Amino acid sequence: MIGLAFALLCAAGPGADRSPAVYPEQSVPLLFDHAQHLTGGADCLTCHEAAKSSARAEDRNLPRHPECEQCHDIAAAADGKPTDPRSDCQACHPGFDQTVRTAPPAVLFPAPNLRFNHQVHVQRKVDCAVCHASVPATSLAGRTELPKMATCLRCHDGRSASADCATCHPAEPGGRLRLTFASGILRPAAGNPLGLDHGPRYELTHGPRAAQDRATCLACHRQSECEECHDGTRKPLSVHPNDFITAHPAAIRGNLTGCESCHRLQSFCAACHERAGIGMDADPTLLARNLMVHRDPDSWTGTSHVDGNHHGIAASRDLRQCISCHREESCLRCHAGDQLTTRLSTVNPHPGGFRRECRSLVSRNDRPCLRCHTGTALSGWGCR
Amino acid sequence: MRRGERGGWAALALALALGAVDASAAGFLVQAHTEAQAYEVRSFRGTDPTAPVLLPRRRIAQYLGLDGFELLPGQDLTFESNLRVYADFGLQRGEAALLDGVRTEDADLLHAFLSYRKGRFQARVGRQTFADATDVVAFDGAAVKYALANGVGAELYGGLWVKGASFLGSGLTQPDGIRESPTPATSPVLDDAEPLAGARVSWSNALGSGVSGAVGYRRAWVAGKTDFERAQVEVRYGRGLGVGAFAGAEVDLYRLGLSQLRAEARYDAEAWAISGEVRRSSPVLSADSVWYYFASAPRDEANVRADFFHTAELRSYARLTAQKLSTVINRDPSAGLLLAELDPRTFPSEWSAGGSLGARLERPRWHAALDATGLFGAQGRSVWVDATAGLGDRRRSRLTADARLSLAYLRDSLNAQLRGLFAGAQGWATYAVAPQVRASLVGEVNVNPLTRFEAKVFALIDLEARL
Repeated sequence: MIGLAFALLCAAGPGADRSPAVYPEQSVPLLFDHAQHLTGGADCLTCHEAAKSSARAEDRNLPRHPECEQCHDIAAAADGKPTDPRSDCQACHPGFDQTVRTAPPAVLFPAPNLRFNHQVHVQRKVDCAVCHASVPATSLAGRTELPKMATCLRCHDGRSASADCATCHPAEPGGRLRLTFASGILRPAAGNPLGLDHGPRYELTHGPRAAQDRATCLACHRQSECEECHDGTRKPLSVHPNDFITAHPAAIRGNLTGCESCHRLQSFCAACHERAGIGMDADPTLLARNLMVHRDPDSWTGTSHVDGNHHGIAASRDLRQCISCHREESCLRCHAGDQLTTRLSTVNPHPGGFRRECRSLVSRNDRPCLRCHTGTALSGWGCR
Repeated sequence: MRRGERGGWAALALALALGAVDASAAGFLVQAHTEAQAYEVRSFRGTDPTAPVLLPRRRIAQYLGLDGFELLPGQDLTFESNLRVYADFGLQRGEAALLDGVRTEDADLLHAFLSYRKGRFQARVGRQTFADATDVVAFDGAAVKYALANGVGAELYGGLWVKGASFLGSGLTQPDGIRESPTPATSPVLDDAEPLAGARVSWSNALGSGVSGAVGYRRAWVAGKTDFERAQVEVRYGRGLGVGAFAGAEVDLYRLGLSQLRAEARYDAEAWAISGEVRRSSPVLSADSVWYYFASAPRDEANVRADFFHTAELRSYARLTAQKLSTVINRDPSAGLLLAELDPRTFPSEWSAGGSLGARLERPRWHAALDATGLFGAQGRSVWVDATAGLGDRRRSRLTADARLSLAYLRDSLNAQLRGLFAGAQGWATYAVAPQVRASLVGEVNVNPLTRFEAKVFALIDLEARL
């Protein structure tokens, strides 16, 4: 297993690309070299002057011919004159022949599905390289030169700038994030800086993450989405494998905590078991065939001879398994009474030293005590 | 009037009341999800093992959600609700009356609250849930929260715990270990109203350190007696990718003991992530339950999981797990336990270990996944293999089709009948009848040594509308 995990690690790839739900796919059929231009003395604003005052993510902020003509004499090149730097159409539009086509292939640069204000960032002295760090070493910039969420969160930490998801992500009425876009579905992907990647079998593993930061989950998900799975009536087909009704006892022994996140043991489990004829406390008309799911019934409840196959051991190890089939009456048949030192009549199920805490417990809630013991007995033991 | 009928009338009244809300508000979202199931469950009633009684299940469950936003112009006032109506046509009323926790028809209001937010202040009134790192409770009442500028926040909440016997109530978050409704053999007050109150102080990214956390306290009473009293503390650290950590604990103040504990450390990189977790868990029992006072031990568990992101479309994971069950025997001579005389070395093993491996490939037009899990030790031996594949994207394709094959090899430690190979195959198709309506049909076939052969059918309808 460890070797296989190591092999998987070695095969791990570069992680996810930019999400198409955030940055839709682009088509930029241009020849361009940012590094060359920066070396040649241009700076970001030479070509992207509009970004300074841009207040919307939909603004393109890309240079058009007038910006290029600050250095490129396009008109002279069009007249067939030599220019330096090169300024003919093919210098930027590869394969474009103006004698054949009237316009070069269009640049498809869809607006990101974000809320973003360049102007505010510029006013706060956020340098271009903070968000577009890889551009100086890039030839043609594309989606990978747009900032990832991890970069945003360096400042958007809830103190320097808002960490609310809706600060940057478009929201629906009511405040939850919009998840469905024409370009894709917004979902935390591999490398998500909040560690929320919704990877394989996330329906089974999201619990710890949701418990740590429920507010982040609720930025995208309605409470009803939690309830529809967690309230045990629906049958989420991806959660339980096929034939789970038959095989579930084997599964729950290893993961009973997970069961309780959707099923209350005394409601869902015990009731269904009683209907199916499993359990001791069902109405007599539903009485079981006494199939005895426990091995060796004699030693399971033995009082004269016991061994390792005794229910007391199993119950102390995982009481939940008992509660999912039995009612309290199952235990009270043998464990209730006031003669706690008499082996054959009653056996004390309490842990060692219980009498030291019984006074405190009885003073706060004596109802469960009185199910098994008389008030006189409680007083006699010094519990009240 | 039966409880289910009361629920139906209440649901109608609620719908009429909501319908009276001024429709000029900013927006409403109406959702409906309907699921029907038809199959039979083998029971173990009767006296002839060769002629098992088959119990029919003909269930239909419908979830109705109504959310309203900006109910007052310019104010962040919202309403959210989710009502479930439910019927089991395979269960006779007379039979259901004999089973605590089972109903032939019912209506549960899972949540319905008004929420108001202004600046740093937030308030909720109605049926709602409160969650912390170790538990979730549902209650009818009010909650207020105030956040200071430095990330510190305080919450107060209180109301009546939603129990199975509550009005339109689901018992899911009700403390376990007791029946939902009173019976002659048990306490006559199990369905009493249960007031609860709690508070939590939290902080976020304290002093820019990346450390957040919370301290909370919750207490509930039944008939003036304490039913639940616990305190929670949680601390987490995270600054984007890289090292992250979390620790949460719940202390049972009623019996003064650590009831839940979870600590996790993780490292998130762009192409992989690894996490390690230790966990101690105990059932959340009502103080009215006699089981709460029995000798029992929490379950301890440790997990290590690694996730690998090979490409944007291909992911895989590996997980190792170790579990320990602890044996608690009352060795006080006065307890009269013969078990105390046994040599603990003769007890069955307390340890289990295993792991999981899986991978998922998600292409624009199709997806496939394979998972394998094994666990060996105290619980017996079990190996589960699950393969799924599908065509289409549920959110964008008009027609999607999925198939699933499950195989389980079991040697259960407790039930000798759970041995052998359990196989199941499932197929389902979903069709978008209209842009906001999807209908699904699911079929399942199972073959195993215990029930031999089973077939099941499910039907689902999803509806979502924005007004």
